[in-house]
Amino acid sequence: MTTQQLRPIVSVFPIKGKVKTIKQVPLPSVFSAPIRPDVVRFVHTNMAKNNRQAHAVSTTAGEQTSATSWGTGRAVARIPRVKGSGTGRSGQAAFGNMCRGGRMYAPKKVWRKWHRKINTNQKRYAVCSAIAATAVTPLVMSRGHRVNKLPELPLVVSDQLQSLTKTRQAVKFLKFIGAYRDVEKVIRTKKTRVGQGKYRNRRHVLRKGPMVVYARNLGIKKAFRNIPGVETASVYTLNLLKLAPGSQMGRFIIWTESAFKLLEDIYGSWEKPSKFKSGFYLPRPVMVNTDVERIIKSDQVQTVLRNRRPRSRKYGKKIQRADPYEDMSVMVKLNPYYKTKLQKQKELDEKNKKERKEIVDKSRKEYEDWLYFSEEEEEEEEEGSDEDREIEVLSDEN
Amino acid sequence: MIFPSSYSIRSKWWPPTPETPSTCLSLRESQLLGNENKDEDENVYEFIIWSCVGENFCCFKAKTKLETFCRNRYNLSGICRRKLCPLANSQYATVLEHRGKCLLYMKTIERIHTPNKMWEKIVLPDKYSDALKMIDEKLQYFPKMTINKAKQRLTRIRQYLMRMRRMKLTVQPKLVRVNKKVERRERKRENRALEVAKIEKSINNELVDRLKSGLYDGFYNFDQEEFEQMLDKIGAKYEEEEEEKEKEKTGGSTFVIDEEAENEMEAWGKSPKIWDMEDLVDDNYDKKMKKLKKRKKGKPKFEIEFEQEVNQQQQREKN
Repeated sequence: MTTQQLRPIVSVFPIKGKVKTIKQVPLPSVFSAPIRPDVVRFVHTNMAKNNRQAHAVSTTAGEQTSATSWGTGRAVARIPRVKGSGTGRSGQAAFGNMCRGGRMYAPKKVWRKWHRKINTNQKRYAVCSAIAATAVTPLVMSRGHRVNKLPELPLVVSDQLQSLTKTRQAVKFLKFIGAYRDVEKVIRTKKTRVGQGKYRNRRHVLRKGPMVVYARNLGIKKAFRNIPGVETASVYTLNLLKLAPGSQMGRFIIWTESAFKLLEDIYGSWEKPSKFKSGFYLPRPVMVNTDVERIIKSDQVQTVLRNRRPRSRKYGKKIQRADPYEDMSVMVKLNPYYKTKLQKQKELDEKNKKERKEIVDKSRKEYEDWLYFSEEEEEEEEEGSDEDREIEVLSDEN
Repeated sequence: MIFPSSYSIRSKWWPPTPETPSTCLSLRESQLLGNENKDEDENVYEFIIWSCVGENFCCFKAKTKLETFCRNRYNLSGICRRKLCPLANSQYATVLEHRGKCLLYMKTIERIHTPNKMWEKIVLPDKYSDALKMIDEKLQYFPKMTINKAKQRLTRIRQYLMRMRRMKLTVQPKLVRVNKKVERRERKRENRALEVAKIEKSINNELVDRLKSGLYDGFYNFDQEEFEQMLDKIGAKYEEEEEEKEKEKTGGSTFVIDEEAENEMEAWGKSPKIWDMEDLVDDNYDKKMKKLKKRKKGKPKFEIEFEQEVNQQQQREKN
């Protein structure tokens, strides 16, 4: 794409009969020009401004009053107010952009810069990019053209197409070559414009269909004129606004054989200048080999680089480790003492359990004994208690 | 950090083996990316396309708040991503289904310029394991991600095909809208129609006619007690009314017009509840009966006994 020394071959198809290559033509150098969406966007946005018509607001709009401010002390805003009385208008605010019936902020002037100058070389660069993009199937598809049934891209067709005069013939050709699906899409999606363009003579909105590029107009222009979505153009005057509508590269173009061949002369190559654009050579890419990955991986670069520093754990990828508390084997690998620790703990637990049990059993037994022998003990106790009391009394006296 | 050798680590990037040079992308990474088999120009080509399509406008891109989708028919997983974009990858493969058959679509850079023949279609075998093997075989030199995604897609397609087949065998409930207005209207109309039909009345008439026609003569089995009770009741009433009737008769005779008779007949049909012997025993009873007789030829004469039966029948119907 960028440095194509070899020039691939493109088939030329007939306009009727069978879809078979009748001839083969070398691919012009333009199609190997660098594809630069940024350049195309820049040029397109500026080019699109060039067909504008000046418009402005009337110079006197909102100014046709002799309003003066009432000043301070009247409990109203200081905006100029319409003089006089006897009408609703009197005393109303005037002149300001915030006022009703006032002049707008920064009234539009006719001497606004409507058109843009673009460097000729830039324009040519963009056109070359756009032409190159028309040969890239994915780009044409991404623009929305229905090109699944085409025999080849770029689509080159015999010069007989230029002599077509009837629309019927043109439609027949489009169907034959597989380009009619795109036209169908256009027909299907014709809609009334959204917005006020509707009643400003821009009622309908159409998609862009195929573009037919010819070298000589022997009737082709009129033949394709009435087919919705289809545009015709001469090779000599290819318009970026048509090649990359909406600054989106990849218009579906049908070339006639002579037009296709002429591209080599019109845009030249890197060695030979263009015959029609004086001093113009095809744009050179900034980088010959844009495959940065390859460059980095190449030996020439790798040998010069220093060794890779170890990745910082802090900001590095989180390593999925097995959870030692879930998997015993992992824990043991990390901490071999863990096993013995567990064992010890186990033994301790058992021991404690035993001891505890003993204590509990003992106390329980005591309690039970006390319960069951309580009746007998009660009587004894009563007696005992009397005795105790007596002894106590005695002691008190003493 | 000391890592024991037998420690099982999930990550395959650590520790770095002597095979992978420290400064390059690891071999595994490059395998995943699939850059090994690609030409310089191919990479450039893809890069250009992705810079135009991925970052800028693409007619297949569908953006939502969380995700960017790809509407392209050939996309492996419906998401707009560099490695999944059928446009930005010169070497691409998908699995698509056509009429119940799974097909493997393959695209190579050699065929990109002939959109007609860009996609090579291979019919995958019906057997799942064979299909997987075929995918492995055909996509040998494709990036591993493509192979995995293709297999996943195949599985999903097969699952929904199975489901479709199963569903075809069962009867699917058809969901029909409920139009509130229509429902309301129809319900009202039904109720109205019910009222207007006067079903009870027509049933009444029908039964009465049948009785009159003599269908039920000798058919009806009445409860003996009830029957006697009714007889007693009716007998007493009748005696009273007979006296009244005689008195009235002496007073003056009134003749009934056809219309009136009809109305009263209707009245009999309408409100059987208000049926009393008083209603039944009319002055112009005989005349009415005569008229009825005329209407229906070949019907037997009416007797007092008949009235009782009718009355009881009505009561039974009420019950």
